[in-house]
Amino acid sequence: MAEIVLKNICKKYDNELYAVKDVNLEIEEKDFVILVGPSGCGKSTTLRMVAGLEEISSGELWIDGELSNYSEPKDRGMSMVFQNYALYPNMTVYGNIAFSLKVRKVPKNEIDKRVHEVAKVLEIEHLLDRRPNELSGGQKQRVAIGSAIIREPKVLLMDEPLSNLDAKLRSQMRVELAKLHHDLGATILYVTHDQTEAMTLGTKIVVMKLGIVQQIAPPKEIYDNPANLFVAGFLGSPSMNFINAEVHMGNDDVILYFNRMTTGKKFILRDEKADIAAKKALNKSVVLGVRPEDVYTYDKAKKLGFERNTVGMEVVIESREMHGAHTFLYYTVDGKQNSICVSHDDKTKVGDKINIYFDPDKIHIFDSQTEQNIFYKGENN
Amino acid sequence: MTLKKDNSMIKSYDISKEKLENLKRQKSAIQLRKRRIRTGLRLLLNILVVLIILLPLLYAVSIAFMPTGELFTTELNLFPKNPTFSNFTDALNNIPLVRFILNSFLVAGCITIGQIITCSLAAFAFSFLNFKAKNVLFMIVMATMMIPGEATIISNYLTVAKMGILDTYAVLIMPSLTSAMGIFLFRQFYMTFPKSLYESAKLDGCTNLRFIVSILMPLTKSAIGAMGVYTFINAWNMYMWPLLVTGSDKMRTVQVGLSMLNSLDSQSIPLTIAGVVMVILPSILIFILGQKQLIKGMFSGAVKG
Repeated sequence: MAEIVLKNICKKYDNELYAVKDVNLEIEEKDFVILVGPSGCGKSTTLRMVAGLEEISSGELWIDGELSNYSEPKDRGMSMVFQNYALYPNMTVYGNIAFSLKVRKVPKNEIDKRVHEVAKVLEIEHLLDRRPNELSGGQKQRVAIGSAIIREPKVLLMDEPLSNLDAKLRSQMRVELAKLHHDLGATILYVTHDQTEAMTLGTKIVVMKLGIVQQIAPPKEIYDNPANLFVAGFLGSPSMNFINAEVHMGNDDVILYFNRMTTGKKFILRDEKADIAAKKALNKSVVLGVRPEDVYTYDKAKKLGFERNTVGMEVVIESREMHGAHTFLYYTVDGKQNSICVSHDDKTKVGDKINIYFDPDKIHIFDSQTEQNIFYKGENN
Repeated sequence: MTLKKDNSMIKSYDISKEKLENLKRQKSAIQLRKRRIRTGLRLLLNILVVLIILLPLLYAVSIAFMPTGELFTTELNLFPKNPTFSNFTDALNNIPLVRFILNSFLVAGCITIGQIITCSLAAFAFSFLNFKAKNVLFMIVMATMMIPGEATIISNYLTVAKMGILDTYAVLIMPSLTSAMGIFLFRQFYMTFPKSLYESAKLDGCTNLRFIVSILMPLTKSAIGAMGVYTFINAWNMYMWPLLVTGSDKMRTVQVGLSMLNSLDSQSIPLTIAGVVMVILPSILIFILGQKQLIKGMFSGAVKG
């Protein structure tokens, strides 16, 4: 059983600034936890504190019910895959994979057996006699993973392991990592700035910004129910549409007025969302957030029955991007670039003016001041 | 348009196959001759320069074979007319040169090994470990390079005299067991390694010492080689310190011992030179053997390769 608990973990440097502040996180057995955020958000620092490579300024780190703030890195039972692989250039692939066992004085035949097992899983058996500088990026990556998993660590730590690979190899390794996680049943703590990796690999995503955890949730949950504006904008590609608005009552409806009520552009909320908005954000300025795939053209909106909810949102298409199965159309509102996801056979051209419609069940409303999602229901929902 | 397998699409010049072959042969012959002439000229120039540079050394070797009378004449004697080995045998008979050479080997060898060990340990600390005042300490170490050895020689002498170790191997070896230059050289090397290498080893359960021995040292073989050659030659050529702290023939090193040849009653230059020639042989040998390492080591820190 490997269970890691981070309680109010902080990292403070000499200049009194928090690099990481009050991180609370529970990693259970077989979790694939992803720390994600823009560069400088403290995700790597958090990982390094768990590994024991950085001192923890305050807070507690519990590993299997044991306070481990002060234990040596080698005694924490973790292994790590570094961004630059950190293979020992003077040793062969075999030597690299075997090194941690050799240090621990595991008997030779046992080492030999396990190296071959690991090499087989990672399909690098034919490379065992080579040196790291004779390997390609993807192969180095496999070797690095091999030397990390060979001693069956409690937690496998990965610090942006795929960011040195080219795009195609990265997506291939992503699939293999997911498979590896499934096959080995390993517990993984993974740092990345790539939201695709976060969404596809994680069983639990931790979004961080400026050293503070924004939200912890499974990928789908975090995608459908973002806690705040930052999380909503960070995950998803293209990013969520954001449009400034104000919440007012009108004819018993709760209405979002765009552009200060003058242009007649508005959006009528319905059902539960209307009630919450009336309660929490009446007469306040807010930001409407809606994912590109929840924005529709007239025909589709009419079919789905919410063409009346959006009024007068006419936009000019500025560019068009074919992504194979989908096409994204880009337009600008309030100086911010937004997008719509349409099917690949859509005939809209650049320069066309179209009316767009938002799915009233899929919208999010963020308070302009606090940037919190007013529909957010908390972590355990 | 379909792709054609033959190259009929490429514009061809009207020329028969035979003529083409001839033309090719002709052109390549001209090219070859040019290249040969160029190489030959370069070789000649190199030999000339080498002769000029090595002239003193070669002349010394030549003198070592001359009978004493031959040197002091008004004619220019570049080569011995009656070559003789007597200078060498006399030098070996007059002073215990073999003992001196062995002493020097022992002292220089110990200093070299000692410096490699202490310098790599210190350099490891300065590049991989984090501790308070690390940079200040490193600067102090660097600053010692600015103090000339002569400035400290008297106080050093007084220290070792008080310790009562004058005229022993220890006194010859100990003061040179570490060097700021070596620490600097190794540190520059270690800085080129990513820190994650160390961190990875640490997570693997590797101790600092083991990291140095099984990972850093194999990776810095060329630096160690360069440092070894440099240190050995420096130690071999030490003069002032051995002169000061050794008194007996048993402990004397070659450089000091040689001066004994000079101060003997009959001053014979060929005799002295014969001694010198014997003594510089090890230095030259080491240099020839370690040359590749030396150049690789001295420059690989500076140029990324």
